[in-house]
Amino acid sequence: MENSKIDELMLSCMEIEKLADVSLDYDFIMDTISLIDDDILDEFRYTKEFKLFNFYVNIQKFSKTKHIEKYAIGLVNNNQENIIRYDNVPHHNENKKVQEKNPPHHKHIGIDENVVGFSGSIEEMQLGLDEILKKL
Amino acid sequence: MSQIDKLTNLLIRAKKDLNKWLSFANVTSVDEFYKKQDIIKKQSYHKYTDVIEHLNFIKKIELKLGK
Repeated sequence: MENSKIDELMLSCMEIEKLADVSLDYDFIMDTISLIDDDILDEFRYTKEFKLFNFYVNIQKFSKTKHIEKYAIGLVNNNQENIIRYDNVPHHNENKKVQEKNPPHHKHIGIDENVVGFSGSIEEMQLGLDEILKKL
Repeated sequence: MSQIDKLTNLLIRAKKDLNKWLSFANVTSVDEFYKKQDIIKKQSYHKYTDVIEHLNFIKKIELKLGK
């Protein structure tokens, strides 16, 4: 995820759309991205409700060159359980399992405490989300 | 579409999405969230911070729109 730009992330989200049976709101997403590009907005938050889960992308911090610096992307099921979440919030950096693999990026599986280190590329996140979606 | 229109649409959407973030934290209103915030924080760091961050996002858009 590090060094990625928001448009790359949205291309990845299109893959999520293929697996689910609902369209993402591209006009809305592109309008929001344009506000970020124009320096009107410095944050991106998108939530989409699908039949079996909610998909979200939250980007809280961009660099001056609009690269993603702080993010969370994941799925919440209809029982309000975090199915999977990728983020680089630093609160788990002291976790040994996270330290073993390229901190501070990590993924949560199910609950906050179940955290593993994560290399952080969009492609890898995509694979992880795909795997979970196929099981739903 | 003007930037004001885009921001207005974003605010409408963000307010609607707030209900989802509240439901992820197992509450139905902002008041209930603040009343139960200590319990929610203990249960899940992210369920707590996601709501706080979403509320801040709404405030930020409202400020941009002069509300």
